[in-house]
Amino acid sequence: MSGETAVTGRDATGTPATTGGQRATGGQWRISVHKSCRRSGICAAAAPRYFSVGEDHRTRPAAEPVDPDPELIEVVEACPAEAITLTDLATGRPVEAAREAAAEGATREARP
Amino acid sequence: MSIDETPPAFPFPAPDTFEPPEEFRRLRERAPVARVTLPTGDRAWLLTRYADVRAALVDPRLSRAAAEAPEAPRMGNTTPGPKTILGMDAPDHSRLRRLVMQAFTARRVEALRPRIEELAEEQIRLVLVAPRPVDLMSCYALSLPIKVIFELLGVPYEHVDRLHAWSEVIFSLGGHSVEEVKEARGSIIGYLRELIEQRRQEPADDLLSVLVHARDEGQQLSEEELLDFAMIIMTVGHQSTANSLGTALFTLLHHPDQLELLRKKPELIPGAVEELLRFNPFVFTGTQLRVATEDLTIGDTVIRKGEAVIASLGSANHDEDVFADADRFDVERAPNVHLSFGYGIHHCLGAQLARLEMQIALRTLIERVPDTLRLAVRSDWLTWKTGLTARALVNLPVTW
Repeated sequence: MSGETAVTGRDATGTPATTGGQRATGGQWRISVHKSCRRSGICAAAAPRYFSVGEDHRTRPAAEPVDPDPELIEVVEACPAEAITLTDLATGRPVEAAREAAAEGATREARP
Repeated sequence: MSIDETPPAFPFPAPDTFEPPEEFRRLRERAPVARVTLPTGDRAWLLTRYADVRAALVDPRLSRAAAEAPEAPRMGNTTPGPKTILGMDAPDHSRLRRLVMQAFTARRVEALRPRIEELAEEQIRLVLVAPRPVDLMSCYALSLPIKVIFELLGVPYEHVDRLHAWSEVIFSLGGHSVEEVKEARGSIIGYLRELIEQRRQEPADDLLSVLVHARDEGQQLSEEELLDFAMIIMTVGHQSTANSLGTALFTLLHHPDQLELLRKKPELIPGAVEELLRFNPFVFTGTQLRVATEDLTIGDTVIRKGEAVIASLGSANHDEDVFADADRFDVERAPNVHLSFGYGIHHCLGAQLARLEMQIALRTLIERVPDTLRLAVRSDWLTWKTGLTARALVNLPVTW
């Protein structure tokens, strides 16, 4: 059951990546909230543009793909249930993984 | 109500039974945004409906930082403090929370399970060999959460007595003077200052060292924020869990059929913990008061800038609009969308840990203590204390 996506934004349109030079992630992001959500309301309070709470008290992500926003990464990290994932629609990979890889790459490049 | 009539005193009188104060029900039906008088004499708006409470807790115009201003309305003789995570709004709040969040995620907390089970087993052995009646509050409900949070933070257990005594003073609503509260707080801070110096010399694998590192290497928080943060984690981290656990055990002893059900079906325990948290009729606010940073409207009521708003989690958790037969205690209730840990950015940092501790404590008690377990005195002989956001038991004598 864990890891199963309970509520996601509507079908991704797979908007083409706007690969702008140094950007770690190129495409729009899809937000998913998993069943492990414990309804802390942290995401809905911190980023009301991206999350809403339905009549059934469940947290829902913005329905459409969204433009990359560092605020979302903070919200993902703030979720105590670790129930939110961001998918980079250009690569189909989780945004976090791409970001970490980019950070690693940057570290390597920075070495003399 | 005429203009000069004094609004009713809040918190409302303690219930004698497991019924939440009747006032909550009346207000939810007739005056969901009601003027009340606080113990300090200050006034506040009291929200009692689930929908209003939850909306208020995600409203950035209802500020915790503004509630820490010197002239702000006060609930009692103490507030968490402007340099604590409980007294801040974004972005300061998020900056501090981020520093320790990783220690409190569901996954990290789950990894503590074997250790918490070990500690619960240690405690239950003490309960089993103690002369009866045995006080479950001091021997179990209090000592288990203290041991867990002291170990996590890195506070030596040998200093538990004075640290607990000081935190009792800080968390009492009106039971101690402003001076006494200030002195107790100063004592805890002094103690932690020394402990932090030790960690600077010799870092350890604990949360205090994580915070010291964030201060010294990353300049991510000030020295005052570091001290206050450690104080909040240590004090809230054991007080709130102990009080909730004590009330939970009392509730189960008062509902033997439900306790019996858990003995037969221990797999119901996680859900039972959620229901115990929801049902707790002794929570009057459950969260700190907020102050409006601009004029705003809740329902038909205009709240003016500078006025205090209290979102009663205790009342919200008994709102019939959300919980069918809300005053009934039902360990099988599902779904259970209670607000006992708050909602929004201030949602309890230790919620996952508290849940796990309560689950383990219940399971261990049920498995190890004979099923003749019962309260040793009439329930109206029990002693209660009034904390900043809830009433809690001072003792819980049981026998079997």
